[in-house]
Amino acid sequence: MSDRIAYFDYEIDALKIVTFTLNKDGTVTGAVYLPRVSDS
Amino acid sequence: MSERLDYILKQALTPDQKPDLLLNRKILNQIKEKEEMKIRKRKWVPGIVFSLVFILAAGSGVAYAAYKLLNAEEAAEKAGDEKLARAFSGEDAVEINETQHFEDFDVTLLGIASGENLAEHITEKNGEILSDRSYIVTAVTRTDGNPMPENLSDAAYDNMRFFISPLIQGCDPMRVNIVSMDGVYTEFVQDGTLYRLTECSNIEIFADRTVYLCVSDADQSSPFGYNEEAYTFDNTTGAISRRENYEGVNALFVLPLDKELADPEAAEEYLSAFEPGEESGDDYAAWSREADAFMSEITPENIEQYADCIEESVHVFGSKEDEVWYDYTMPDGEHIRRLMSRERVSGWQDRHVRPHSVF
Repeated sequence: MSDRIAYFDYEIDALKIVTFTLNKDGTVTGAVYLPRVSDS
Repeated sequence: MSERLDYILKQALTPDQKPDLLLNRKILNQIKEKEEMKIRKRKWVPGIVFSLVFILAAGSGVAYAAYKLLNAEEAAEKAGDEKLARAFSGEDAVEINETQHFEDFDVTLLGIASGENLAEHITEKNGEILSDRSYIVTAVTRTDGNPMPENLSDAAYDNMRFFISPLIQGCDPMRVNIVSMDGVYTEFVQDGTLYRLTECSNIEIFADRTVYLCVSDADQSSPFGYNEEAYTFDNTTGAISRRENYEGVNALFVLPLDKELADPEAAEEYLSAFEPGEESGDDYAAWSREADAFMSEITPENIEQYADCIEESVHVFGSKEDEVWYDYTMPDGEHIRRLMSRERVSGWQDRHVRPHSVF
């Protein structure tokens, strides 16, 4: 769907990753990711 | 030929003693006034360099930085922020151009600007716009003459990660640093030099103390955290110093802040969140190191291996939408709000910039 993830940031308090991806058709996809690995 | 000339000039101009900062600035400003247009319009040529070096060599040990590097204004412009670039040429800014030399890298502090709404690019935290900020521009070059890798996601950067942060006299740098001070940075490579534009909460409120800028190798266990092996912190005086026997990069600059801008009450209030024993103090530092360590493994290519996308959070912006707020409410009710700026997203990609915003 996309070329690559051009930008992402994160919040430390409860780790969340926000990504903005530039797509080949010129649209931008925003999404939130949650870490799969626990903090143990 | 030019590399050899560079080397000779650099050796000749490396200072044995630190020159007077104000004198440096005065000379550099004078040169800038006379030569600014020439320097910006032309590529590096030996003739121009010689004329500049001749003047600068009399009173400055920072000549190498002056002719070779972008200045803070130009770096901000390259980072895509015209408004900030203007701020770096105005009254809110201090041009510094101080270089510290290490075996593998030269580190130059180019300048600092602080104030309200100085930048075009908005930084926000949990939906709140952070407007009172300090912006610091640094440059890192390799001493072997080779360029820094153009692509910041290059594996070669695994051994070239730097931690750049303001540090404050009297505050434990493990606790009070760029990570806890709402820091954000953008970096790019231009002509083989790595430039980093760092921003954080306005540090002028601390101007009655010594405020430092550290540039060190990243801590291997936490690439986005303070490297305590590179510096020492004196619990009695609150002073922070370079660890002299440290093998690597551990630059430490003193930021020339105007003491009249200090606001001890605001500083006290700001620092109260970082007091030992508070949940947001020691625990926060541990948390941030853990989060940084996790994030250091994340790349655009492997994020799917480490994290799950919340399908409901996916929002596609049209090809004509340039600057739009991205909003999503988590299942637990937390509201996430980020600014999607097409210029930033596409600009960063074009320049191979891979920024991390640390909140």
